[in-house]
Amino acid sequence: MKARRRPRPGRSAGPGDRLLAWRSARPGPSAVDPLAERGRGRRRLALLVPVVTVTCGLVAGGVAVGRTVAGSRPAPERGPVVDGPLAGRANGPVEQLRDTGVLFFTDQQGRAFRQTADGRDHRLLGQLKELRALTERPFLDQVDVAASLLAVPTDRRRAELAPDGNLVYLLQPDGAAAVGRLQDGSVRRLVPAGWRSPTLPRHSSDGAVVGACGYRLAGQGFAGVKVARSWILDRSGGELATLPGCLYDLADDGSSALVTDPAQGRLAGPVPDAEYQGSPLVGGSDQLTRGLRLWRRGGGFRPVLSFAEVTRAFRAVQPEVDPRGLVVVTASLGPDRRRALVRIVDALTGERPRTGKEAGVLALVDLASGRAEPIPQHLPGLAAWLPTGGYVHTGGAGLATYVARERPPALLAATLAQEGTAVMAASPDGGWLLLAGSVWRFVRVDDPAVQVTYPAPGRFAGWAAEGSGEPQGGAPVDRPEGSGEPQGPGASGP
Amino acid sequence: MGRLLGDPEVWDDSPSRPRVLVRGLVGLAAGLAAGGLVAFAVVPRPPAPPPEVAVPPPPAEGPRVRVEQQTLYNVSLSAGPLLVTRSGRLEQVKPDGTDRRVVAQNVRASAAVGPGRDGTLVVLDSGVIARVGRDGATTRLGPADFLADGLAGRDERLLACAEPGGSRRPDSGLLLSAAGGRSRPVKLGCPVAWASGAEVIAGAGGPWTAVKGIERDRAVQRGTSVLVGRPGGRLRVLLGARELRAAAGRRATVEAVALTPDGKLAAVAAGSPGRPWVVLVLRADGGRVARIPLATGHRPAWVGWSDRQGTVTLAVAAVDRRGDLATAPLASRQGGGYVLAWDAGTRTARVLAAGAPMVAADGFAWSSDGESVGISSPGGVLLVLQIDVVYTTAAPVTGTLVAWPREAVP
Repeated sequence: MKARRRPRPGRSAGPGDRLLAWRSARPGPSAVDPLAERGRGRRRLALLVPVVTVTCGLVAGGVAVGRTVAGSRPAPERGPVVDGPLAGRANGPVEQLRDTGVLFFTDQQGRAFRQTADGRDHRLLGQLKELRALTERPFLDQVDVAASLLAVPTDRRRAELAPDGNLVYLLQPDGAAAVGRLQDGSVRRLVPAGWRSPTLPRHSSDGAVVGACGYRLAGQGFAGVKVARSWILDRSGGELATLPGCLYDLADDGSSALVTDPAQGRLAGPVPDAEYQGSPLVGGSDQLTRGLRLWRRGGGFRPVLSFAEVTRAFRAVQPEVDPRGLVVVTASLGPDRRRALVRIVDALTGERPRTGKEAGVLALVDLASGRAEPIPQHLPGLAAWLPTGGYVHTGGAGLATYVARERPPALLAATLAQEGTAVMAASPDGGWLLLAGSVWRFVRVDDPAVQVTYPAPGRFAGWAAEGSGEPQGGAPVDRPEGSGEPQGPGASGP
Repeated sequence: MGRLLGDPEVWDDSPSRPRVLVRGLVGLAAGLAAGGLVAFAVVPRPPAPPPEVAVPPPPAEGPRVRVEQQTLYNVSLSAGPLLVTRSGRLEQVKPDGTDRRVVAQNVRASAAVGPGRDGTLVVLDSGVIARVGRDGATTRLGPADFLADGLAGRDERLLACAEPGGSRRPDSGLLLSAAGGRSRPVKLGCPVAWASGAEVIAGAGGPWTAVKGIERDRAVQRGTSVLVGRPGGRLRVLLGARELRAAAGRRATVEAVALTPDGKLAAVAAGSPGRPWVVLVLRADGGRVARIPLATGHRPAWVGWSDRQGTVTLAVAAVDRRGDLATAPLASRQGGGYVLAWDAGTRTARVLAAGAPMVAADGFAWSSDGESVGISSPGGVLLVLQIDVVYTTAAPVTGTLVAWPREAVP
């Protein structure tokens, strides 16, 4: 047997020596160098222990981390968070109002603003002193009592902004219908000097055609309407027509307008002097609207509502009404231009309708057949068409009712009295209805349980499609002031 | 090769002592780290849960007519309890929803007379005239083969009109007593009425016409004249067939009749399906007082007179019957309508209720004090108080309104 080699002097123990030591650790014959034998077990242990601990570490670490990883659930993705200017002030799913369009409104300083329906992108559009003056003027002053038998606004908005965010349709402090421009602060009246207008101007959706009703009283105080005229103008201010009586609505495309039918006025005769709804004696007039006709830009008129139908419709709510007092005060064309919502009042109602007899009725008029279908309601209030073809109306019980074809009437809101709702407007896509008062209440038309409310940011002035309200410098209708005296009946137009 | 200094014997060339513990700990740490990294990389993760969208809780239901507590209190103050049928039971409940009590089980009343001074209540239940006892037990009144289609009465006396069928003629009405006993025939057909404060009865008379478009898949017999008289006495024609057709249209028949409490005025609802309907107000001598045309496509569902301190007011419930709504039962009719109140003193009218609350409206009644009208529908009971101003409130009451008597059933 070979003796075990010792390292030579001057040479340290190298790897080869360790190998030898390892080999010598094997069981074997006993001739072992005691020097090499010392610490042999410890060296073995020094090899064995790391192997074992690494293995244990691998297992333990793998199991621990694996369990952690396998048992962990990633954090759920967060949906859109409602924040912005309405955070904390809005009730309901305000995020659903995203992409429903841009709302215009004014404040008491005469400034006009825009913001999206969900409260974003609040921006000042401009300021007009005429808008400030509107807030100081009563909505219906005494001079207007006689005029309220000629025409009544469909709602209580003081001004209306065009989708371009620049043109403003309003009534001047002297009562004249006018169009203003926010960009340069200019305002042009649409009726001659000395004429007043009972309602805001009506306009096509692109502002290319605008119409206004004007009247003059026979005297001071509660004198009756001496003369009523309407003017339809194009974008450049050119007169498309001057019509006897009042213009109530203009089609979105500007192709037609609902106006007084003088023939029905002659048939019915003048409205006598009357105490209208508790007012002092108001002078009678032969200029009030007893029936309607459709003015067509292409030429000609078409009778759409006769005085006989006016009387028949009203008798559904007042069977023994004196027809001498029945007048049309509101008419709005449906989106399909085949139907109209018409409001008829009894000018001879001496008592206040809240405590007395029914003094008004809303009627749905089929323009093709001329049939008027009454919509009985106590104290009919606001009425508005939706772009989808349905309509909404309100009544004295504070209810807003939605009526769509082939569907039963649906209750949209019962809070009109509490919230002072003064304006009802549909979103551009017809999916939402805004009831604007001290609170702005948005109601999803197809599911009235979905409602969003927030405090009114100002006085409502319009609701346009998304992206509207960017000033584009559109020219306002430009009518020379005092451009002639009113012309005689039928002086313009067929 | 050089030589190192020192004694080679004391030069320690033995291998360094292996540090087992350190090596073990380092190995363990390395193993843990390596195992953790491998496990982190290899072990599959669970799928991500669906994203959380911050949507506020949807409201339980759509908008409803508000409960106006003050109006409800005012109505409850002077009016008696409402008689309603609900879930096959006849119940009475105060307008504010309190004091609900089951009057009779297994009764689906469509009309009720009473309770009288002795507390007797008589109901019309699926053609059977039944007296409801104090214990809720019912006793059939009239002949066993008599099926009624209408019931009117005053105190303990009753007037029932027959449901035509088989050999039974449309005008084979009966005068009965709530106490029982024999009944007397009267040549009146449906509808019938009895003045609440006078001995005057009225009902439809011949000639009789089969009218289609009122009930589904069958024609119903309708009279074309109105008869009036004293109970048990001779009946006279209040409105003849010719006058009826002149006033309400060529095919007009009688749909409803109501008498003022003193019996001096009668309201007759007449018309024909698909044509305009009217309500005619007539004096006892047949003279016409008023003609109330109904809105296009609307048919009367109920007419009733109230007496408020001498002021008589007629209420007409007109419901939309256009298209598929023509033959739908009231309770399932998905259409609008309105209730018009016509004041006989001033001969003026106003609308008490309209629109959504009239969808599927199936029960109507004046309160006994003549100040309020109740309208029931699946959406609940609507109460309209008309004094000088019209006040409207929802009532916390459900069921079909049958009557609104002055006194509660004992």
